[in-house]
Amino acid sequence: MRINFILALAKFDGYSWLRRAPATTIGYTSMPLALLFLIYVLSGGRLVEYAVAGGLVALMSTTAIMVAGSTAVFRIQLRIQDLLVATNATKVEYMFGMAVANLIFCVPGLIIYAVLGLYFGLFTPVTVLITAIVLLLLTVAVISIAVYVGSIFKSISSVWTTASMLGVILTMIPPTYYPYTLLPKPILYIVALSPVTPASVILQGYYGLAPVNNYMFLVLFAEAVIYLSLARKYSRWGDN
Amino acid sequence: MIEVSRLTKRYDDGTVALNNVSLKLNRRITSILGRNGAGKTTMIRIMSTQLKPTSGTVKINGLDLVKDRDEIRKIIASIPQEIAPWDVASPQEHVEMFLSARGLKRSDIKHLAEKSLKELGLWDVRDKAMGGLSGGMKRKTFVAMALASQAEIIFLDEPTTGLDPISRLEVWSALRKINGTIVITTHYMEEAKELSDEVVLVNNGRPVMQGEVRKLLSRFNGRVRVEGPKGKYKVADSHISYMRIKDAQRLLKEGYSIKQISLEDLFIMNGGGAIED
Ligand SMILES: Nc1ncnc2c1ncn2[C@@H]1O[C@H](COP(=O)(O)OP(=O)(O)OP(=O)(O)O)[C@@H](O)[C@H]1O
Ligand SMILES: [Mg+2]
Repeated sequence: MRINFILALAKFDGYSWLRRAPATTIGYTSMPLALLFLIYVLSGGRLVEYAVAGGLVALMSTTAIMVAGSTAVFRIQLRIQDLLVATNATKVEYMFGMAVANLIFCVPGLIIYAVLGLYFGLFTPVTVLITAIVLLLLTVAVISIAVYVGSIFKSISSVWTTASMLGVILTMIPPTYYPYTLLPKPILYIVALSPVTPASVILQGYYGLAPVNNYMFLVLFAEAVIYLSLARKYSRWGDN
Repeated sequence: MIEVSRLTKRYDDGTVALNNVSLKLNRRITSILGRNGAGKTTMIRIMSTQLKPTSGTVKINGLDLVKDRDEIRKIIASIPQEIAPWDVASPQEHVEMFLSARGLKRSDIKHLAEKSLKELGLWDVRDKAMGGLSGGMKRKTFVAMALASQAEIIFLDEPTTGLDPISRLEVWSALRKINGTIVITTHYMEEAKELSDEVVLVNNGRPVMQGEVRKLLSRFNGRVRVEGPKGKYKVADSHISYMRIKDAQRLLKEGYSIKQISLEDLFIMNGGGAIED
């Protein structure tokens, strides 16, 4: 894997966007922030820390799933994938480039959550490290799904529809904005298929909002690896 | 050197875009000409490893297109016909991203990108978002990618479509400076004639003619193009024939006009025009 190319692609896709059209990133932050407000009002402030943890996870995963859209645009509309296929760039480098781009793209949102997290006293050196690891693994897992979705459809609109639907399934059903202990165990295991679930469970645990469940690290790690391998195998890259 | 042998491409919907094509390209700049749908893009896409052939083989500098695909990708650069810019990224970011995809060193990338952007008159806008550039500047950015690529073999599918005459000259001069072998497609006869050492005329998925422009035109020796109320070929509303100048002169009174032979006429003779009588 060539880090140089991954960074160049990330700059091309993510940094340039952030730099020249920063307002668009607010669009992605607005949904979790609106929910944060809603939860604050509805729970009388009680569940607001869940909403901060959940918002962080939701921000990363919704932007990551929307990478399906940019992948489709790059492939179908701009033919940038065609351009890259004829070079030594690989599918995995491409996926990582898009993932880093997405991280860059999320910086403004991350700053907002960093401020909120500090305000609510969620951060210690340990939880910051854990948050970073969780968000990275989450990004890899969701981007893999996104790149796969972005590579298989003939039309961009099918990709958008599928990605928006997946976005809802992946982020709204899992215990993103509420304590994971509310879910019966069997259902928790089912929704754990969405990498958002283990990510939320881990953060809720380490932020002191719910019991720590280290088992979910394994789940998140396994999902990152499995989804990445599946995407690597099954997403389309060129004509092969 | 590119050797294509009995290459056929049948798309999923059954369209046969290339039909048992064999040809050798070994000149420095080759232009592929042909009408819309003739199969030019299909040919370029196959030669640049973007599309798999249905059957047949292609060798590029001795490497097999299928077996040595990764080796081939190291030595080629290919700019697709329908490539479009990413609005928010700049010309420089486009070129640098492409160069790093090709695996060039970071230190080389900066300076190669600078050189080619200057060459194509894009240096002043290097840092602007592509969305704010004119159509021609966008096209030239993709030529800058090819120019900076350091590839041994470069494929450009209609690189000058939509460029103004000066920009076209800039592109030609940039292409001439490339050390490697270049294969371009174009619809501009003038361009093919000025720029290339050899042209390949493709019609209905097959090359129908190949050679130096001057030589190909010599088959018309002494004849001129005559347009008038009747002719051997019908192209849109024109009726066209080819004949010796003496015979042509006799037709002048009947409302016919005489034109010089150009590359376009190769087209018309080789299936570019419907035969009238
Ligand atoms: N993806 C595809 N699926 C099915 N048929 C295709 C596909 N791409 C091209 N074709 C068909 O293959 C034939 C050759 O197309 P191609 O794009 O190679 O032509 P071209 O010479 O590049 O034309 P133009 O000058 O318009 O760019 C056409 O009949 C076209 O309709
Ligand atoms: Mg074409």
